[in-house]
Amino acid sequence: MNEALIKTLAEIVGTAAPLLIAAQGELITERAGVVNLSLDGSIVLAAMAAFAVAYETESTELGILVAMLVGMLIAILIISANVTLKVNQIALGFVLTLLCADLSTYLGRDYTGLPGGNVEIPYAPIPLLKDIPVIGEIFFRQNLMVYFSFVLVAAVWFWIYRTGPGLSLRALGERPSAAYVRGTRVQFWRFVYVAIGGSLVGLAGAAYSLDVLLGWREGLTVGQGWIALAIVIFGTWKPLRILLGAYLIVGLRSFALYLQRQDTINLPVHILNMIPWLLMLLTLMFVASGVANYLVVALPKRWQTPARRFLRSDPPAALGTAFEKE
Amino acid sequence: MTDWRRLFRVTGVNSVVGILPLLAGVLTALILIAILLNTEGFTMRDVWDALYDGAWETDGKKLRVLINWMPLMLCSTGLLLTFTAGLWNIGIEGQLTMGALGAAAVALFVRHDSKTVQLGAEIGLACIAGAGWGLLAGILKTRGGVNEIFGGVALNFISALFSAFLISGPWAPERGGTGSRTEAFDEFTLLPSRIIDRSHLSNTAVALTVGGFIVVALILYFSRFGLQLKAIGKSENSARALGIPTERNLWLAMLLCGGLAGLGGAIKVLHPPIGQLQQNSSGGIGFLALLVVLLASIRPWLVPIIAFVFAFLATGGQRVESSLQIDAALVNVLQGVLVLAVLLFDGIRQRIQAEQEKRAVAAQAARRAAEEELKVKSS
Amino acid sequence: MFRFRYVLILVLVVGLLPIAATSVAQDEEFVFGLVMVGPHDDRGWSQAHYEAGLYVEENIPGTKMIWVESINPADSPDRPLELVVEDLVDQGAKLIIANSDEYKNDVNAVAPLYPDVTFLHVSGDAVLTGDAPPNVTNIMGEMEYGKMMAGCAAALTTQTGKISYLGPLINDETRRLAASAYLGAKYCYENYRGMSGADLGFEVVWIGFWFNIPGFTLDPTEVVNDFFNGGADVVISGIDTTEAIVVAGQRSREGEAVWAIPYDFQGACDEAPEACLGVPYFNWGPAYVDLIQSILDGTFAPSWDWNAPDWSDLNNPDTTAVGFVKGAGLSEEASAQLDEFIAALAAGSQGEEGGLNLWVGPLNLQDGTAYLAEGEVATAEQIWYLPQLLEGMVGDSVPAGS
Repeated sequence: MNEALIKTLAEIVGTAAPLLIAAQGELITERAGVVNLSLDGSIVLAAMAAFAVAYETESTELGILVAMLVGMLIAILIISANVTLKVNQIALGFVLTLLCADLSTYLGRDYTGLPGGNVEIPYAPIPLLKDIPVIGEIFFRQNLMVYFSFVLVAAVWFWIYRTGPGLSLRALGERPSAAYVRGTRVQFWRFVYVAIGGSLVGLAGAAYSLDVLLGWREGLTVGQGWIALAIVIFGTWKPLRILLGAYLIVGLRSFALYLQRQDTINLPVHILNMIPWLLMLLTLMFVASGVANYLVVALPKRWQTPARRFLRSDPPAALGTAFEKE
Repeated sequence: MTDWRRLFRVTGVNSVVGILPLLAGVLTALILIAILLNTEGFTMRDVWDALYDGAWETDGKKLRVLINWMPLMLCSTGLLLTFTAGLWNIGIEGQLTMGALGAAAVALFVRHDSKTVQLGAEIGLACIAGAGWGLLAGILKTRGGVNEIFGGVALNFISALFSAFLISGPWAPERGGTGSRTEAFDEFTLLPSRIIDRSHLSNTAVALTVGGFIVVALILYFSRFGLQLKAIGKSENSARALGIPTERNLWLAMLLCGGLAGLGGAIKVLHPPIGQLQQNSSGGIGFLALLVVLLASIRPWLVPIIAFVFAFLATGGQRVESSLQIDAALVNVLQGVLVLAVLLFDGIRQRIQAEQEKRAVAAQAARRAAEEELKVKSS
Repeated sequence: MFRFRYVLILVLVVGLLPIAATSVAQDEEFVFGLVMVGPHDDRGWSQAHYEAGLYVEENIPGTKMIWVESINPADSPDRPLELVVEDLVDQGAKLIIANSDEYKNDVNAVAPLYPDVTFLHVSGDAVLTGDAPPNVTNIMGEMEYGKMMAGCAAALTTQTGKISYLGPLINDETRRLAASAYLGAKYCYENYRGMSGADLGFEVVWIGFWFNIPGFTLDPTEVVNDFFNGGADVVISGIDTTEAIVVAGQRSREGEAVWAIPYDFQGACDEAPEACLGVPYFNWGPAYVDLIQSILDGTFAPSWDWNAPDWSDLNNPDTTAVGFVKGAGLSEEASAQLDEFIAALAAGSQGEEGGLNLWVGPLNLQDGTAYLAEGEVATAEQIWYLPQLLEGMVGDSVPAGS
């Protein structure tokens, strides 16, 4: 395989890591029946906090920790106000999106443009694995944050589909009242999952300011949070599809750049940047509108069931609704 | 005729308690900002002076506030409809952008001898573009199963990118373009305005804004459509069960909201001194309008006031930045904290009210039980 | 209710305390307003202007700068230059410095509204073309030389023979700067490395604006990574911000042999010194001081100044308009050769015998048409209004769609 292509693919895997982590965090949150709409703000505030703390303390680990804490606190604010005060999750998430972005601008102004070489997440190729041709070069010459993104996907998948608590997690988002009847402490577990999801979103912020977009400047990650939300939908709330979605969307950006550099094709970058959003809309419509079913029927009989399963999208049924015991 | 007194009560005009969270939120935000400022070595007085100098000192500056108020007000007005119907029309940014594009398309490429026709076409296309974009989000919701929030976010990005594409490509100035705006529109295509103290003011724009608000308020308070929207907002399923055409009403709400946002976009680009299409013509006004309506807790009469305060802050904010060299983001932080605090305080209020009601119910039950007991004893 | 009263009192006290504070009367001073297209701390174009403003405050007693940042349609769509200027003049500004090509038409439109205020449009050409109102003046530094040095340093270092140029948007200014870097690179590749200039890869990618606007421009971080993935090992930055040196630093720490040459701001190499070959930068301070002095003396007259570097002392903060600081990534041999190159440029610019002028024919434009005939020396205007990139450069010469 061509060296430039391998390097580009490795780049895509590395650049997609924060999106992937944030999207898995949101997946856990939404699977528990809660929407954390604040992603775009949470990520940018966490990114700022990560860089500022890491820079001041010269400790990358501490920066990462604080970023996770920031993400977690925002998520906890949303879920606790929703549970105790019945404040609308969407309203809270939306306000926090704007507020956190402005806070990051305001609080981060002393850290703009400072060199980040000392606090960068270190490059850590994995011995042996890194020498596997192609695969090793693409996946195992990265840093710990990127490896974590792989492990996370596997862990989330395993948790949701192969464990008992994972089954209850799905129930939280599908039919919380049924889960409650079966003895699940709905509010408590929602709180736990939302907090975990939030800390992953914070971690994504750290991945930006300490790795992918090393350093801090105003609006560093603006837009990425919305893309992460779109990926969750595009990935139809399934961990592995979210992985594909994240790589696909970052890959598309890379492809846009490739086209930009060709003499013959002159597709404007703005049009290419629309693709993730169109994809998201089309996926949702395709799945929800019943068009998919018509197509499935046209398939040979024995392909129909797997096709149907593949095309099924299950947004958690109770997504975004507050749970009441009564 | 509907029982409009009851509606007033529902919308909170008579409810002093309903305003308490807003006041508490304002105080919280002010205290927080005072603390932030204190760490910078500034006082609230400094900021107030800068705001006053920047947005109130002269007539011209007051007009600037008014100019910023109009698009914000139109978006907020539109959102009153969608919020009443229980829709989170986050796509309002995109509807405003499409409106701006519609107005710009006519202003750049169509010329009619009559200024009235010209302006009518500009504003008309803006409204149609905004309304269409709003309706699209509505159709995506009811027919495509796309939640209006996610659909709206996607449509926002698509419209912003489309606008950027036009500005840096087909609509770019002949020479010296930087990809960030079109050529300035011809004077003839702009809203007719008087110049007062260096500031422009278009009466047409003011009339459209105020008129739009009055119409929407009337719709909400007095029309059957308004009532139906409220029913849908309370519970879509029960509204449908009652025979209310929910889909049609939701579409209409989105359509009207988009149209008003589109009008806002038209005023934004057609009102001097901007007078051109810029890369970020929405400039977050749609999002700000969402905050306005959240703050007002969908009470129409509060909307113009809150929108005006926000417009004042936005106008004066630049003076805060240039005279105190404080980042203008501080003003936005103030707004964010304000809305957050109000949301939380409102939650507290509702909880207290709910508990009071519960207690009242319990007390009544207890009293009745006691009476029963007495009756039993006496008999 | 009881507790609530205490809260109220506390709030009142907190609220009223600051109001007691009083403001201090200001002395008679010369106020100048700086309008920046990017943030004042961007480690690039805008910060160079901001620091020049500080330099003025230091060097002319009684001057005071007020500044506004990120004035561009993407970041602040509600603040056209007209309103910004009104705000600054309102605060007593007697001079407005507009630091970007972005304000080209705006400055000429606003200036007539304030005949008593002087407007400096940096990088503009309205005085040259005669479109300028009488209170508008233009300044630019001869960055062509800085870019030639950058190109030379790149050519002296590259091992793959591929240099990439991270361009902002396409206009006269950015074309001539990218072309200058190419001329410097080609000359040094041929004369110091002994290679054929035709083998030198020189690609320009334009991101679409002076700095990154997420989603709307190409992401410079991704572009630079793409350059390196594609085999380039030196990236010359032409944008206002620091992405090129950040990415080069990251990759260099990962053990790759890659370098970058940032732009605009003297301290830009600090981000990653080991991956930095040097930085051509603007030093606006002296020009600002001269201008303000002339306004104070009453000798101001509009002019179109294209200020030269101080060839006797390239990095003298009090005299030079354009400087070049070498980076730690430059080898000793390359450093010596670069010095030689700079000396030749110096001689050439002063018309000395044996001096070097790279803007001499034969030179063709990118599409092969003749730009300068054999032996023809380009005039200032020919360079300023370079219509295309030069032959041998890869990349767009004109914006897509035009």
